[in-house]
This record gives sequence, C-alpha cells and structure tokens, in this order.
Amino acid sequence: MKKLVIDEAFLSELEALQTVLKNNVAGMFGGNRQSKNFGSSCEFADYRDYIPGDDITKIDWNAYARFDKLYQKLYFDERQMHTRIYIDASRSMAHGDEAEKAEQAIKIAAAFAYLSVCEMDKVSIYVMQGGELNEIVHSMVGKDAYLNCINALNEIEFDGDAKISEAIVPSTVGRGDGLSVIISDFLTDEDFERAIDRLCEQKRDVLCVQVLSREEINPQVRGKMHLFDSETPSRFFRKKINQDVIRAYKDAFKFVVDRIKNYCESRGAHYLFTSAYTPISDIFFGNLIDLEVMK
Amino acid sequence: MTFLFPLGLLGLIGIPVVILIYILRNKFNEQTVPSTYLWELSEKFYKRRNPLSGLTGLISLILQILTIAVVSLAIARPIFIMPNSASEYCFILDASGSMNMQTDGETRFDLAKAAIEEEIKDSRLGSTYTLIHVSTETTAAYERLTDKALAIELLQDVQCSDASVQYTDALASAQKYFNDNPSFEVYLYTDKQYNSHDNVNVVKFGSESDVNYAIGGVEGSLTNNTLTAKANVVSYTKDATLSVALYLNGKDTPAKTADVAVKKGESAPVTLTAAAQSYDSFRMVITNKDCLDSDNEIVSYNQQSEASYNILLVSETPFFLQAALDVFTDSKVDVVEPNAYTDNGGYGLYIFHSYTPEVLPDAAVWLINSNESVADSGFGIRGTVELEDPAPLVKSDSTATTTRALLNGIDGRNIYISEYIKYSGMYTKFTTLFSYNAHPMIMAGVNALGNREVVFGFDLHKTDLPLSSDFAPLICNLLTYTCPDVLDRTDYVCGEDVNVNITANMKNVKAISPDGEEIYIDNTTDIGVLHLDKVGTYTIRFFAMGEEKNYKIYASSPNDESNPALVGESFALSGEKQYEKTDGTYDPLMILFVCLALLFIADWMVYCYEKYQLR
Repeated sequence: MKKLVIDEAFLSELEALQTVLKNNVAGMFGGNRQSKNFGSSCEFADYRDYIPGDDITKIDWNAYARFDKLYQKLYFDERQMHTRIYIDASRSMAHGDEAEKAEQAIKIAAAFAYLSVCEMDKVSIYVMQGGELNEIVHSMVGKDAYLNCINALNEIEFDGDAKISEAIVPSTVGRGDGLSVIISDFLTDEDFERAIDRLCEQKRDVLCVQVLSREEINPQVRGKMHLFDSETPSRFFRKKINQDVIRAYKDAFKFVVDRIKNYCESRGAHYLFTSAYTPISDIFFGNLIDLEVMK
Repeated sequence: MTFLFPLGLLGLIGIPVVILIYILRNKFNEQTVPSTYLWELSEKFYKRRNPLSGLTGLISLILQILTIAVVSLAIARPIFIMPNSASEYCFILDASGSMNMQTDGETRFDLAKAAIEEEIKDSRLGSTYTLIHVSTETTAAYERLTDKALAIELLQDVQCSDASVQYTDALASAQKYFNDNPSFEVYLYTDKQYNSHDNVNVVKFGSESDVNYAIGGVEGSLTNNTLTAKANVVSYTKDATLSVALYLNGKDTPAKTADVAVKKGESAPVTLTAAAQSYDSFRMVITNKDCLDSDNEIVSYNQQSEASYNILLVSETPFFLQAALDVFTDSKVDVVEPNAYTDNGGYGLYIFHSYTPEVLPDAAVWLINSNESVADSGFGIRGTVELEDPAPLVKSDSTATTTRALLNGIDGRNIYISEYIKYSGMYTKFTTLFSYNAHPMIMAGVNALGNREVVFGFDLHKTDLPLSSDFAPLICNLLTYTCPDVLDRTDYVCGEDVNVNITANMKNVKAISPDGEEIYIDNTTDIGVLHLDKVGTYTIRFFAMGEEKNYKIYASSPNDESNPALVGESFALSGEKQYEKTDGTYDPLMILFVCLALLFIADWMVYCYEKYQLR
C-alpha cells in the first residue's frame, strides 16, 4: 500500500465528521447503551471542554490554573464497549492502479475506529488474509492511542485471498460488548455466513460493509473478453460480452447484494452497500443513519 | 450442371482467405479483474433474447463466405438442366440479294427479321442473343446480348445486300459459339433450300413458285449509226413472254421494245437495235412484273470519251512512232519538231525522240535516245557508245508482274543496235526490259514527278526494232503501261471487286454508289479496289490533268440471286447438340445478392463498432 490513506487531511475530516455527528446523533447503537460513555468509575480517561451544566465537581482545577480554561475530567464508564473491525485484505480489494476499494475500506475502518475511541470504546482492527486473522490494532483506547496506532492501516498489504469465516469463527470475538464491522467486497464463494452467525451468537452488533468498485457496479467491458481473476489466475471468464451478458451480470450483481442483505437482516445484522467512490461523510451521515446504525 | 465461365470459380479461393483472416483477427482480449465471481455467476442468469445471437460472432464470417460464393457462382454462370428455361441463341441471317424478293409486299429479308424478333420476344428471360449478318462480309451485329429490347432495336438496323454471299465465315462463327456451349440454339434464316440438322434450325422464306425474271450478259456495238444491244433474259419459274425495252442515254422513253418468249429456266437472247450516231449508255429493261426488280434492268456505259487522251510526239524523224501510234491507239497524236516544242500542257503522253526537253512535263513521258540529262527523269547520261558491229539486246528474264506484262507477246531475240547511250544513277523504280552488256536499254518506271516514264537508250533509226515483229506489241504494252485504262470494263456483277488503275496525277478518287454514298478509293497504290455491294450504277470520279473525269459502271444482280428456288450447300455444325439451358429465370436474383452484400457491409460496420468503440 504505497499510498498514504490515513493522513492529516483525512484525520481533520474525521474530526469534523465527529463534531457533526456529536451534535446530531447520540452515538453508535444507542439502543444498546447510554450516550454518556464516560461514567463515574475511578479510572481517568480523558479531558474535554467544560460545557455549562456539567458536573462542576469533575472540573480539573489544576488544568484551569495552568491553561486558564475549564476542562472536564472524564472517567471510563463501567459499560465500555469493544469495537472490532475486520478488513478483507485480499488482492481483489486492491486491484487496479487506484486500489480504490482498499482505500475506501481503510477509510471506513479508520472512521469507525475514530468514532469508537471518541465514545471511549476499545477498538481492535483485524486483517483477514487467507484463513488467518491478524490483529493490527489491539484494544486501542482514547485519541492518543488512536493517533499512535491508526497509521498501521497504511501498512496493510492486500494480497492473496480472504476466507472470512475461516478467519473470524475461531477467533476471540467477545460477547455482547460492542460492534463488529466486516469490511469486504464479499465477492467470494467462501462461506462468510458462518462468521456472521458466530458474531451474532456472541451477541455482538454486526455490520457488514460491502465495498465495490465502479467497474464492478457498472462494467464497461465489451466484445470478446478473456477475464482473469486477480486472486486466482487459474480462474477466468471467457465470453463475448454483449448487452445480454451485461444484463445477466447485473442480475447476478443484484442477486449477490440481495443475498448478503437478506442474510444479515435474517440474523439481526446490518448491511451497508457502498461504492469505492462514495465520500465517507455520506456513508456516516447518510447510509448509517438510514440503517439506524447511528442515531 | 456446368459453368459457362469456370474460371469464375477461382473466386472461391477467397473463402479460406476470409476464414484465415477471421481466425487471425478474432482474438479474445485479455484483462484481469478483481474477481470473476460475478461474471461466472452471470452465466446462470444469461438469457438469449435472440435465438440467433449465438451466431452473432459468426454472422460476419458467414455473410462474407456467402457473398464470395454467390459472386463467384454468378461470374461462373452455372448452367442447369431445366426444360423451358433460358437459352443462348445464335441467329444467322442471310442478307444475300435473293432475300430482297418480295412476297405480298414484304421482302424475304423483312420476314426473316420479323421471325427473329418474334423468337427473341418469345425467349425466356436471361437468354442471350447473337446475330450473325451474312452479307458481302460476315459480321456479328451483336454477341451474347441479354437485353431483348436492344437486340430487337439493333436487328432493325441490319440491311440486306444485293450480292451473293458466302457462309464460310458464318459457319465458322457459329461453330465457335457451338464449341463454347453445345446447347447453343443456332438458327439459319435464309431463302435457300437447306436441310435442317440436329444442331442448326433452318428457317426458310419464300417459295419456289415465286415468279422472277432476269436479264444479263449485255453487249453493245455501234456500227453505221446503229446501236445494236444484245442481252440474255431468263424466266426461273415458268414459261413466259417477256417484254424487253431499250433506253438510250438515260432517256425515259424506250428507243425500242420487243417481246421474247422464254422457257422456264432457259436463257433466251434478245437483240434490239436503235439508230444512234454515238451513245453514252443504253439500258435494257424487262417490263414484266415479278418478285425482284433489281435483276430486271441492266445498263451498259460507253466510256470512250472519258478514257481518251492526247499524245504529243516531239521528233525530227517521227515516222516509225507516228505510224505505230496511229495504228495502236485511238488517241489524237500531235507531232512537232524539237525546235517548235513548248510545254503548254493538255497532253496525256509526251514522246521525245532524240530530243531532251529542258523540263520534264507533268504527264507520262517517253524519252527515246535522250542524250542529255534532265531533272526529275530519274537517271543521268554518261555518254554515247558506238558499236563496231550491231549487237543484240538481251531480254529481261524477270518474273515480276510488271515485267511480264510489259514483255507480253514479245520474242526479243533479234533486236540489234549499233549505238547506245550509257546511263548512270538509274532510279530504282525503273524496270529494265532489255539490256546490252548489262546496260539498260529499254526501261519503264515512275520518275521523280510521280509520272510513268519509258526510256529507250538508243535511236530507233539505229536499230532494227521498228522493223521487227516485236515493235507493235512493245508499243502497245508501253502505251498500256504509261496511260492505262482506268477501268477494264463497265459491266460488273454485284459482289465483285472493281480494280481502278491509278494513273499519274489522279486526285480525289472516289466512287458514288447507287444510293449516293461516297466511297473514297486509295490512290496511293497502282490499283485501287472498289467493292460493289449494290445493284445499280456506280460513278468513279477523279481529277486528272485539270479536269473532272467520271467513269460509270453498272453492277448487275448476280445470276444466282435471281433464282427463287436456289438450293444451298450443306449447313451443319460439327458436334452433338446438347440441351442444357441457362438458368436465366433467376437472373433478377442478382438484386438479392446485392442486398446481401449491403447487409454484409452493414453487419461489418456494426461488428467494428462493437469491437473497437467499446460502448
């Protein structure tokens, strides 16, 4: 991954996004937990600006003396959640010069992670390659940790294939302690349903994000084509592509999307379809609210 | 099935070429995509809207192959065995004089043309038509024409001649077509009696009972102010009494008439006399009505006045020559002494004896014993040689036509000379008749002025030639050579060639045919040829010695063409006739082929658009 996806500009964008979301929604999966993540435990978590009406007993007067500004001390709530983000790092995600799917997947993961740390949740980020699951960010808490760890997303190598169920099912997924986000193109014969089942069984809130490129959504190829699979070169599709074939492709596309969506709904999981070129703000400010992932 | 042009099938070679190009160019484009999962899955949803869509990739190839095959076959012209289908017709039309005979107001030739027209109209679409016109020359009016209307239109332009015809060339042409395609339908339209053959359909016109008379063999003589005109008359169909009239000098009123009883098929002489001091022409006419007018009249022309010319003899001792000229020519001979000679023109022949003019006259000339050189004469003088004893001349043994004609009737073994003139730089166009010691003594040729010239290298008074028996024929031959008759005779038969003797200074030589057509005659050779293909009077007109000369001749109808029941020789082609017909009924399908070609082009454009534009 040569291109730096997570940079200062993106982080600024996340900050702005977080501010907007904060003023408009209570938080992620608000139905499961209170918006006040910072509770009354004794473990200090962070500072934030004082807002009139806050509990004045939690003002840090030392900080006031030093900075001449009121800061509110925050403490970890007792119901701290653990957001687990799974990124499909197969070669198909990074195919092409732009690697647009991989970039979008990283951005979505970073955004979820940021929003989670802002909620004082723990965040773990995993990379799925083959049947293995590699944790590249381990139980990250707080913005400082976020800034220290998030650069690991830039280092992800997208290669090989990804067996989602094989990677997730045997892993420790936690139980009833937060959100699990699977980001993939889901263009595979592999049985990813078991992974969703496993997460749902563990009382996790599950969100499947399917990211597809512009060419996959609306293919432009025509004529006699010999298409090779980027992950498995031995797989190929050879046909004269005409309007009838394109029509069949779109039927197949709809079938795949509907299958994932229906499966997720049947398991109480959420499903988000997004293209690689949809702005992050639109995803979080539009799609996820529509899905009631955010309220 | 056979093919008219089998080489057209070579076009089929294009088919493997097209297939090869198709294979080479029709490659799949390779491309790597993130995942082929959706593409593979799409196979389950694939529905063929058009049952032929599976052939889409092959339509271009199929159409190209079809187009090549169809065009190749169209060029090769396959012939199918299909009864009542199109044929190839070859019409041989007899245009001989007898085809002018009339029956019920229509000539046999017109009836033949109408029959051909009917045959063309009744023929199947796609047939081809070839018309061989057998006239004085055999020509193909058109070959393998497929347009019916045009074939009929061109048929109307074909004319009948008055002459006899030969079928040799027509037979050869028909044989050529028959060899190309043994199914050729060959028709012979004639009035001659021929037996039909398997491979030639003879269509006969006219009847043996058609009444026809003819006159020929005319002769005329003028004695004692009386013209005696003789001719032969014949009735081909029945015994008859023929009324014959004699007209003089182109007058419309007969000078004499007579009735002649003739038996069927036998020639009977008729002689008519009329008072006349002289005549230019006389005409003998059978006034009985019959089916052919052109052989009922014959004209004889007297061209003596046109053929006459004057001779000027320049000599101090003209005795021998003057005597000979008076005997052997009707021309007027003027004699002058050398010191009285001046060239004022007006003579057709100048004879200089022992005298050399300063300038050669522009006419035929004899130079006898000229001992001085003169410009344009074609030779120079080296001097006079006197022999101790008379020596004989040697006669030329050349077999050249001119030499033979000039020495005709001359023995030449006892001509002695005692003195002669040596010539130098002899003009190559001279023919030596006699020589002495390899020196030309009597020679004839054409001088630098283009006039005929005769040269004697000795004095007639110093030789025994004038006293020998060879003198008379020699003078005759030389006169004929230097001033030849323009025409040998005035009575010809239609179809003959007339030899026109081209003499010096003949200019603008042409003939005017009976129907007024002007025919120019080549005057660059000694003999111009005029072909007679019409019955009637031809006028041969030219300018010579400053005046226009008109020679009239009459071309009479050939005897053969007067016989209404002539039996022809065999007319059959070699080879067995076949009955394979051209499938001309489907020729309009060419439109379909053109449409297919257009479809092919359209399909090709769509194919290219899809392949390269990547919509």
